[in-house]
Amino acid sequence: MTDVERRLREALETVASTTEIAPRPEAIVWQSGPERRRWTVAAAAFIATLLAVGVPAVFLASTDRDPFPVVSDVPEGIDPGWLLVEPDDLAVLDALRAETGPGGERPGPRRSLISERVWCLYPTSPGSEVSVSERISLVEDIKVDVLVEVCTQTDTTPALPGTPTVCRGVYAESAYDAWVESGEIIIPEGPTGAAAPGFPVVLGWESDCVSEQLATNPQVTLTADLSLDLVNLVRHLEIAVTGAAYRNCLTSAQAGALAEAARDRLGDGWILGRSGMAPSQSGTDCYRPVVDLQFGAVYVLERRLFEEHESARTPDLGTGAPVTTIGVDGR
Amino acid sequence: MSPEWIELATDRSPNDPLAPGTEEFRVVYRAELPRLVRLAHLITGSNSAAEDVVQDAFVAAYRQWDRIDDPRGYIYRAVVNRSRSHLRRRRLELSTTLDQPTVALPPEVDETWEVLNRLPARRRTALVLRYYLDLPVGEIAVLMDARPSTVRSLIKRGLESLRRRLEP
Repeated sequence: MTDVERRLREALETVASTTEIAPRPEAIVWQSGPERRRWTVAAAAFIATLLAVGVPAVFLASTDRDPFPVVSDVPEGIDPGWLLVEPDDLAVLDALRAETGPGGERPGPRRSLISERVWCLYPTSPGSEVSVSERISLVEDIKVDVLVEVCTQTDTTPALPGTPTVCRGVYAESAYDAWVESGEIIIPEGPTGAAAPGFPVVLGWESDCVSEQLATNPQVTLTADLSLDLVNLVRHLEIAVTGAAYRNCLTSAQAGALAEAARDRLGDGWILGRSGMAPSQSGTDCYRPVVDLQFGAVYVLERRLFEEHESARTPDLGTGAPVTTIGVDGR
Repeated sequence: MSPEWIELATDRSPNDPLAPGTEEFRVVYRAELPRLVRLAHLITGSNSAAEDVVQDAFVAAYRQWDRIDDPRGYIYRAVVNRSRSHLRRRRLELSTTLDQPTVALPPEVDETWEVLNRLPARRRTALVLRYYLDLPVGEIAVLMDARPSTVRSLIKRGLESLRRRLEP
């Protein structure tokens, strides 16, 4: 056994020994006695905290669990500006820095967006997923040379014979079906089977763009003058709706309407749904649309920590780079 | 997870002696719960998420208990898959924050744990299954729905990543 394997085993066993296996709140609610009282006290303390920090009325009203709303062409309850990238959105995303330690004491780089991810396929090893987030700012568009750069300069890059090729990948139908079956997303009308293909950008080196989750047909091999307009449009929308959600604690209906408006910008082929994951048990209550380039879907997340919301909605706007408002059509 | 909770989450009651598979479910639940929560904790990096993941897996299993040929295998696959789904979801939430450990970890363990949690989800999952559960590659491949050669590669590259970050 190598030293790394020894350290790994030791770490896994030590952390596992700290795992707490506590009763579930869902169960406790239906029990009497100290456990129930403890959770009641915790809930009361949480509500008191919300009131103490001046939670907007919209936050308190956001506990509705309405079905996905059907909205007209101009959704009510949302600001059209929420679909535009504004300076405050950039500041919010900049504030949402990854935390590299358990205590978050060492801020990491800006968190990456889904549309910034790149699949790098190498001829002799499994593909790896990387992000261009550290290579470009939020106001720069993604370009082909950045994609090539990020896949050729990672610390895990194997030898790369030949010339990189930029390809466009699409998710296999089976991968999409598995996603739906996993319950991660709920599509009101059920799986359509006609979902817009995701566009994870993939690099292959004198090889076809195939991996476990990428379909071989259709496969589009593109060149260095590849238009990344769609990727950049999705990225703009992702920045805009994420910023809007963190700056405004959205109700379920607002998030649904914003998701639908974003989907309308992308086209009918995009899936519109809701997250199928159970709501969190604490602190939740703002809703956020997710523009998911990988699956060609826009859906609403139903849980996000209140603390995170609070820290992100009041970023230090003075530290952000000078920016301009960007329309989702790139103007 | 109490019987009351199961009853609320499904249309069947484990207290109903006529409910098929009830006793077997209880046996599997009691026997496997702690190990599964620890496994999910190690994959997700979150104790609280681990409890969610395992609970969801048991509820899903309970709903179709009569149709499951290999209950333990089903539960383990469900926990692994849901843990990986959780990781994907956590990425969607733009969050990479780990749970604050309830007890202080020794520095070397803390460093290894932190590095492990920065690995891609598939590598991390493969390493946990190999070095915590001590599963052979073939069984890991079944749990991860991947080819054995892929699992071997994930483990190899996961160890390489750890080595680069941990060794001076």
